[in-house]
Amino acid sequence: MMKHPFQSVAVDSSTSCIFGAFKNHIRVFKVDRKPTSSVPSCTPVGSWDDEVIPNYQQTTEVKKQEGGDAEAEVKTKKAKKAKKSTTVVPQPTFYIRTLDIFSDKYLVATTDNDKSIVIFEIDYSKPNCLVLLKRQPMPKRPCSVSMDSNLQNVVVADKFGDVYTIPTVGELLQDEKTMNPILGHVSMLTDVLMTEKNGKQFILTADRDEHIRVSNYPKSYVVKQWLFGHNEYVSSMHIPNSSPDLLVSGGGDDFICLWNWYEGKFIDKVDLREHLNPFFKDFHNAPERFLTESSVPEISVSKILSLLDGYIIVLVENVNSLLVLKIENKSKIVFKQALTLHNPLVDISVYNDSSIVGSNDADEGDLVSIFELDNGILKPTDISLAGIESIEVESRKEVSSLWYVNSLRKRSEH
Amino acid sequence: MAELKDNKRKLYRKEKAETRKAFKQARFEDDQQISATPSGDESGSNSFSTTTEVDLPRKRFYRQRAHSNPFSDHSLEYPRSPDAMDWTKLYPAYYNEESKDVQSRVEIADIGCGYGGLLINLAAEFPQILCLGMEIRVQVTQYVEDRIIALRNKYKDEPKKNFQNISVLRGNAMKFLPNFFYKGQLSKMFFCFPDPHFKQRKHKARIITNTLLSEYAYVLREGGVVYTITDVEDLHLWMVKHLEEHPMFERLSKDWEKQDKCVQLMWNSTEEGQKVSRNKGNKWVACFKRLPTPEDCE
Repeated sequence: MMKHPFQSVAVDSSTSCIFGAFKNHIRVFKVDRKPTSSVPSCTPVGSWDDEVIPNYQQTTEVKKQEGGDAEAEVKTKKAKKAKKSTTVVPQPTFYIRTLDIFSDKYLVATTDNDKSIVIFEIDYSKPNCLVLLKRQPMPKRPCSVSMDSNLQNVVVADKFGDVYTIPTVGELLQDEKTMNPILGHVSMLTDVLMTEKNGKQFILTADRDEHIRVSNYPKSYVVKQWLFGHNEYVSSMHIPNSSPDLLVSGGGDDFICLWNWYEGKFIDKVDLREHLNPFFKDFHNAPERFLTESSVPEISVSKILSLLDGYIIVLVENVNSLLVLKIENKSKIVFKQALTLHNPLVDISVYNDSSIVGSNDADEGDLVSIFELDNGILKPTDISLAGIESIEVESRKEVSSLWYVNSLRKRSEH
Repeated sequence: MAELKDNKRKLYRKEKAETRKAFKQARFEDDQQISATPSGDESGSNSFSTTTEVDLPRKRFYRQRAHSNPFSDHSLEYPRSPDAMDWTKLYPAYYNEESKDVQSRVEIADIGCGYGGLLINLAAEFPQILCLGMEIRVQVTQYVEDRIIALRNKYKDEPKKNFQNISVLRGNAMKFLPNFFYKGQLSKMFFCFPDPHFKQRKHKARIITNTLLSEYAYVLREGGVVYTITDVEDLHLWMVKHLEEHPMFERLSKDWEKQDKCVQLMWNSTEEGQKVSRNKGNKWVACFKRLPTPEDCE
């Protein structure tokens, strides 16, 4: 027996609430820390359980709006489909892939199997702080979300290379078959970020073909420029709060890049491989049929965050370590520390400007740990968040897939 | 019989590959230079002539199925960025000793240039301008390479129309166009008889989509022109619809088309176009101007 790890975590730092997703469930816990005790009380303040049956129910949801006649028809279709699919797909997997909080006001989740965006308003005055605003089915599987500056729209990037906007509030759902993308790459998108400069908004998109694109917004059909420098897929982008002109990016390369995204300038890069060498395991080797004598363990950056004073935290897929980098004088990015961990972290999120939470991939112990930056050194804290719970599962086999970033890597088969 | 034919084809293509290797970067200025044999280790293959005679390639040896999946990870070569692109290999006659680079930039791109019919005509029409054909199919690209090598050789004494200003590369323009070209670098882009991708599901694989048009608008300068021609009416309507819907493009009039030389070339000179004419099929043309970037955009 083990607890199911949180495959995604997010934090509302204004209220010290931790949001975690396991399988198709979201749980919210308020952390109350008394100065004298290292064991804070973690009270559940919100939850959501996704009950949508993947693949077929979503179509009925949309149809329902159109009128009763269609409904009956759809139901019979659905029944047929359901019957069919039970023979083909024995066990549909449910999965929430990402959780993001915007301005402490909205929580946006992406679901994997039925390709939906789920938007919640966060309202702590309610017994359940997660107020479902809408669940919008998407044409293709979403991979990353952002929000524009006045929180009017959720911006969604998908596996097909397209970006869509969804109005945050308002009940109307769009028919996913007729949605029009606001921009697109002929590649898989991996990350999307909304940002601002001189009162103008821009949208940054990263893809599997090494590209980072900077486009205007809302006139996203005008591309400002591309940022060239990666040799492998880009999987994660981050704009530090303290220097909004800068962008830190990583992916399948051995290095992390620092850019001035607005001027389109590459500034610096920092190597990770030498610091990760002690942490590689079998998992990091290329699949056997691609292994050659010159193969080295593969690095996949899954998340980049920033703390105060230019400190950057980098999470690399399935290593027992967290990397600390630092941006110096807005002109250099340097390696500072590789913190050794008992277990890999599945996801990380900023807790406050000098600490982060990480979700543990461990057979026992707390689901979530807090790490603190103390005089420039990242340290695990002894704060025990024992009250934060998911569900018990029989074995690892029942755990949702936690590591998937490296599947973006291109293999030369041809 | 089929095997024999296949073998002949293989031999022919091997021979051409050797020629390509030897002549691709040659300028055809000095007879002595070009008569060099390819790298000495190929002593067994005396099949290719060591004189300056380079024949026009025969198309039947370069056949390849007409479709290619633009989404797949072909082992393509593409520069990391426009800065990293080495154009000297493609336009050796334009190499400038001082700058260690070619002296002008590509301005005309023929996307999906096929067997290069249009490109050859552009060479004469715009002798001062560098034109590039991009083609995703390997063998078709090689055919065009061999064709250009042969033409450069044949017209090496011509001061102007010597085919030094055209070149071809294998690439996926849908994925990597911005890796090759700077913002506003191109003045003309041609899309001649593109793959229609009839199935609804495959429409994103079409070369003209509203999202890809933003990339074309990026590499095109203000006033630059997108040329399209097809023999599939549905595809024509699709391309017109998407170009008309895109805020960065405006359709050029029929009168404009009549007076434009490139429209004539596009109509007559591509292999696909000639095939359609032979079969007495219809051809549809639509040309669009790249509009100025909106003032509130960068």
